[in-house]
Amino acid sequence: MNSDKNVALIEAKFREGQKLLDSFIGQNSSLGTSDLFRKSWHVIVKNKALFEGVALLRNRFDIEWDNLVYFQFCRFFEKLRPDFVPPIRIDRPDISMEEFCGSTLVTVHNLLEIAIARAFQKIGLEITLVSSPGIRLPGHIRFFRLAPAPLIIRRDRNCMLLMRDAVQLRRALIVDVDYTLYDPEAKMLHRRIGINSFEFSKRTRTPLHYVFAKIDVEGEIVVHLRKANSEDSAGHAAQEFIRFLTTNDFRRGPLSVGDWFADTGGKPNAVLKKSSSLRASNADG
Amino acid sequence: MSRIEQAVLSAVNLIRLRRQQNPIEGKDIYSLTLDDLDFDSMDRLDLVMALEDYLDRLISGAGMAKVRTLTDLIQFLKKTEHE
Repeated sequence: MNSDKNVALIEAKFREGQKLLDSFIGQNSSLGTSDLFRKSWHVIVKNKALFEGVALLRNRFDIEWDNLVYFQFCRFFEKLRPDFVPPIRIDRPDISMEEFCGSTLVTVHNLLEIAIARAFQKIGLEITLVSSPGIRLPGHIRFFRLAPAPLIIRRDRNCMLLMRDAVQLRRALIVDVDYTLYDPEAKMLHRRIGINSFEFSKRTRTPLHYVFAKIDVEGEIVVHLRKANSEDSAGHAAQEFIRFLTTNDFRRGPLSVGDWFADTGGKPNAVLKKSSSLRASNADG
Repeated sequence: MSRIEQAVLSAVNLIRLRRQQNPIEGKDIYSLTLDDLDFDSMDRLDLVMALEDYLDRLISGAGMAKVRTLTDLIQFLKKTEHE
């Protein structure tokens, strides 16, 4: 927990960073939009110490400081330069839409999930997002210029029925599979990867892909991919997804595999139950 | 019991067997809800897939999502039988 003093210090540093950035932008206002954005991002990265504290404030998913700052900066920059669209690319130049039709794409909460949707929409995929109620999607959808707006399936007791309809229509499902459980005894958050989407892919025999978006040093959002092994059990596939995240420099951890429905009852701010355990996968071959 | 009613009973009991629960009886399908059965999202997915196997046809997930009771489910399956 942050003391008031720490919060004040973090906010003071952030204001200093913003002033620095404002000054840079003012001095370089003749640059084209892409150049100005890229060079402004360089300023932020170079002055990480002024900005990184934001990750310590009100950040339940422990989202990386650069993702938090990037998103805030992009929203500001868009007001400055209305023609600005965040640059996004997929890390495989030879990608084809066919490979992802009717697939489940598993990722984690990091403010870049809509960017992932945009990246796949650009190659022609129709996107369906699986989302918890109350998540602020409309603003993100507008910001990343998703068109048409994706279908959204609410995460509830009927969501897998609708997910199955979506993949049968060859839409790509994007699912955030991470969640947190608060441990009141240890006073800490446990981070888990929910097994249900991996089981869904196994039971419906539809392709599964691991996806993770990161911001590179040039301020471009890069979407990293790996296709899951269809022979893996759901549990093993979930473990492999954790390995994929680690390979891609995922900085939040440790992660373990859990069952979101069983662990949280579908409710936010769930608390760790003493008997919380992994649901056995009936899909194991 | 009609073919559809039998399919619903068999599919529900298949899910209950996987959950190591006792089967329900034929008469129960006219009184139970999906909430009574405590079927979560994975169970409902398994239910629709089992029904598709038993009835040898595709079943809409969106249609199934509106169902609350097993009686609703039977009526839904009868209504969509020839679609």
